[in-house]
Order: sequence, then structure tokens, then C-alpha cells
Amino acid sequence: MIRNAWWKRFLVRGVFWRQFLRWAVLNVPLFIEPIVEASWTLFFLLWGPGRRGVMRNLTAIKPGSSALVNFLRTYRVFWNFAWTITDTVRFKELHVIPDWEFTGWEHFKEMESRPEGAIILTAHMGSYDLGVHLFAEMSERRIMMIRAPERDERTREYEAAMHERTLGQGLRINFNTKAAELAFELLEAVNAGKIVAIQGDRVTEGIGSFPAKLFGKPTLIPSGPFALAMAARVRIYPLFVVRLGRRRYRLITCPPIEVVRRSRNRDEDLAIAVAAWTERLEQVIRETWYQWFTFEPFAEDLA
Amino acid sequence: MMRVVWDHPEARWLPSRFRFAVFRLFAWYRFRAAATQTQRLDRVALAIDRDQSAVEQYSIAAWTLLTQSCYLAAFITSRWHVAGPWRALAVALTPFLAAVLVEITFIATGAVLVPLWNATAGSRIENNIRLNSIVQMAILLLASAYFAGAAGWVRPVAWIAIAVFAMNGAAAVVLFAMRRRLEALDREYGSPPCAG
Repeated sequence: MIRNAWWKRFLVRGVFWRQFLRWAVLNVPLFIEPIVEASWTLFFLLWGPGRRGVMRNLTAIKPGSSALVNFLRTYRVFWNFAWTITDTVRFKELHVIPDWEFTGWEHFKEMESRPEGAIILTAHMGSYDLGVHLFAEMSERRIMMIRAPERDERTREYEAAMHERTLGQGLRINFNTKAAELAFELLEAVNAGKIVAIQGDRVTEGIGSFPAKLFGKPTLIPSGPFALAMAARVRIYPLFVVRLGRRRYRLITCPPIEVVRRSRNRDEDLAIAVAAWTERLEQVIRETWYQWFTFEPFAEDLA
Repeated sequence: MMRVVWDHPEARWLPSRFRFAVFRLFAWYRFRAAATQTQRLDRVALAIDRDQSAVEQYSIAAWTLLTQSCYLAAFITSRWHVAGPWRALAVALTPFLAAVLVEITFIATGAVLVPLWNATAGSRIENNIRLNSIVQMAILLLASAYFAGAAGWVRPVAWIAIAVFAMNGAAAVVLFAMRRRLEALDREYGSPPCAG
């Protein structure tokens, strides 16, 4: 295997920044932290593709807003991202947890009380990592979290090692590198009564997708969670982790989506569930656009 | 794992969730008011950690940055003979320079002092937050003592900083006197007692 060139560790997705973040979590005095977060957020605004990606997404979420206003909004997105990744590393390294508020508790209880497995469908919002860890702490069920692998090889190795070191008892993380193999494993897990947590707002390479509309723009949504729910006859629980402020999050559990086979046309049945998901996703993103961490344009015509 | 208080929104004001004595004392009085007024509306999980308060940490961050910016501006204008618009630009940039200087301090401590200490003592300390906090506050106190003797507009800024340190010391004494009551409160809410 060919290793990355040494300087690639300093690119925005390089391992250096993960190591530096861990070092900062273990070194920065807490009363200095807001200054550090603010200045590094400013520095990371130099990341052109990410900045432009967020700004273009904002043109769809907030139509009619000016480029200058969207630039300032992008700072807010980066600022929230900086805090959430810091909170996640702090949780993993020092077991420091934030304050939590819960909305839709009854749906969480319902999911817990049903004997069959379930699918938690989440988005790249707030600290989804932290949210699933919390869920694993509260739930009596075993949770399997599916993540997109890091693009950089060294970062991938670093993250895998960190997960190995810091994971709780009830949680397991799988990286969706081999979609076909993973599909059988997930089906088995859900059938065994486990909960599978998947991010449903972004399609990565090699992952099955389904056409949908978000903010009136044609986009692609991962089809895996919906196909899995249909095959295993389990419910999908949309779950969002929203950052409310410093070390303060809200976990929103929405009413479940049922993926029912109604006709001979499988795609038509999937489309109903996908539309229900995108409707909830759109509603949450509209309210908390400042923490939708999608750094690439979500629709082709925004690119 | 940290302790968590469930479904007691008033626990937001538990003094154990604050770091500095002044804020802990304020939290104590705020808690007494909140405990009688708050209704339980939703499921809430509050973590018991000394650095949990956003108001406290943001206030201290803003105060330290402003004070250090003032010291830096006073230093630049007194030592370097810049005039006119350059002087105004230099002063306007001081908050950014102060932020960089603050970071250089803890990077130096974490990257030089701690490895030296680890090599000498044979330890493998990774968590240097406490050490860096002490170093940062010591630098601010020393700089305040220096500028308190200087002439001009920076003098009252330095005296205000010294007064804040003194006020925090006084609050720590009051909290020490109240420690039994605070420990009882912590026991009531299931969190471990924490010292001064």
C-alpha cells in the first residue's frame, strides 16, 4: 500500500489536525477556549472548498440572502463545527459530557419498548457522534453506528484507533466501506433486535442512493437505511442532535417512519419513506442551518 | 464518568458546576432562587462539572482577552513610535495579537515545559489543563501588577484586574466558610463534593 506524502497530513482532512485537536483538548485552559475556538474558526475559513460548499448550500436554505451575509453565516457554521468536534474529543478523552435536553422522549421510549430492532436515521448536525454515544448509555439495546470512512488514510487509521480505545460497552462503530457485506451484517443486527444508527443526509462513494428533493433542489439520499427498514420490517426513527450552546445539546427524536411494501413497485414505496425523511430533515435544517455540517454542495446545480 | 442530575433544571445553578469562586458564590444565591421557582417541564440531564457554565467561561474569556489587549496596546503605543493611522491600526489589531500570544503561551507550556517535566520526573502526564490555567492566570496577574504602576489610561485597567483577583479571593474565603452547606447540596443532588 502506498502511504500518503508526509505533507498531506497538514491538509484540511489530514491527520495532523485530529492530533492537534486532541492535544488542544488536553492543554487549553477552559476559560481560554472561546478565544481559541474563535481564532481557529477564522483560520479554517481559509479552506476554500468547504467555505464555498457551505455558502452555496445556504443560498438554497436561505434564498435571497446576500453573499456577505452568507459568508458571515458560514463563520457561524464553522464555529459550531469547531465546538462540536471539540466536545466529542473531550468526551472520548476525558469523559466530560455536556448538558442534554430531550424532545420527543415518548418516541425514544417507544423504540426501547418494542422488541424488534430499529434504525436511527440522523444527519451531519450538532454532535451526532456524541448523541449516539449518549443513546448507547441510556439504551438497554446494543447500538451499531455506521460512519463514512475518512478520506485520508492516516486520518482513517487514527480515527479507528481512537474509536477502539474510547468506545462504550453498548456501542459498535462500522465504516461503510464495503456496502454489500455491510448490508447483510446490518440486516442480521436489526433482526437480532439491535439498533442501527446511520447518517441519512449525504451519499458517499460506493453507497446506494435514491433521488429526492431538498429545499426544492434535486439531490441524492442514501437508500440503504430505507431498504434495510423494508427488508427487516422495522421502523426508522429520525434523530437530530442540536447544539444549543457551550456544552449544551438537544436530542430530538421524531415520530417513526414506517417503510411499508404497499405495491409491486419497490421504488414507489421507498419514495414515500424518503419523502417523509427529507421533509423532517428540511424542517430541522431550516431551523438550525448553522449546524448542518455539509461542506460540499448538496445538489448538483449548486456546485 | 461524570455525575449527571436528571430532571432538575434548577441544578443548572449548582455551585459545583462553576470554576471561579465569584461565580460559585453567585450560583449559590441564584440556585436558591431557582430551586423555589423552576417548574419541571421536560427531560433534562445536567452534567456536574466545574467548567460546565457557559456564562462563566465566556465572561472570563472576554475579560482576559480585553485586559491583555489593553496591556498590548499600551505596550505598543509606549515603546514603538508609530503615529497617525498606523497607531490606530496597531491598536485595532491588538485583540488578534493578544489571542495569538495567549495561544503561544499554552503551546509553549504544553510543548516545552511539560515534556521537560515528564522527562525529568519520568511521568507521562497528558492532561495539562490545570497547569496551563495556573500559568495563564499567573501571567495575567503579573502583567496587571506591572501595568498598575504605569502611567496613563492602562493603569485603571490593571487595577480593575487586580480588584477582580482580590474579589475572587474574598469569595473563596466566603465559600470556605460555607463549605458544609455546599457539600450537603452536592449530596442532595448526588454529585461528589468539590473543594474550594
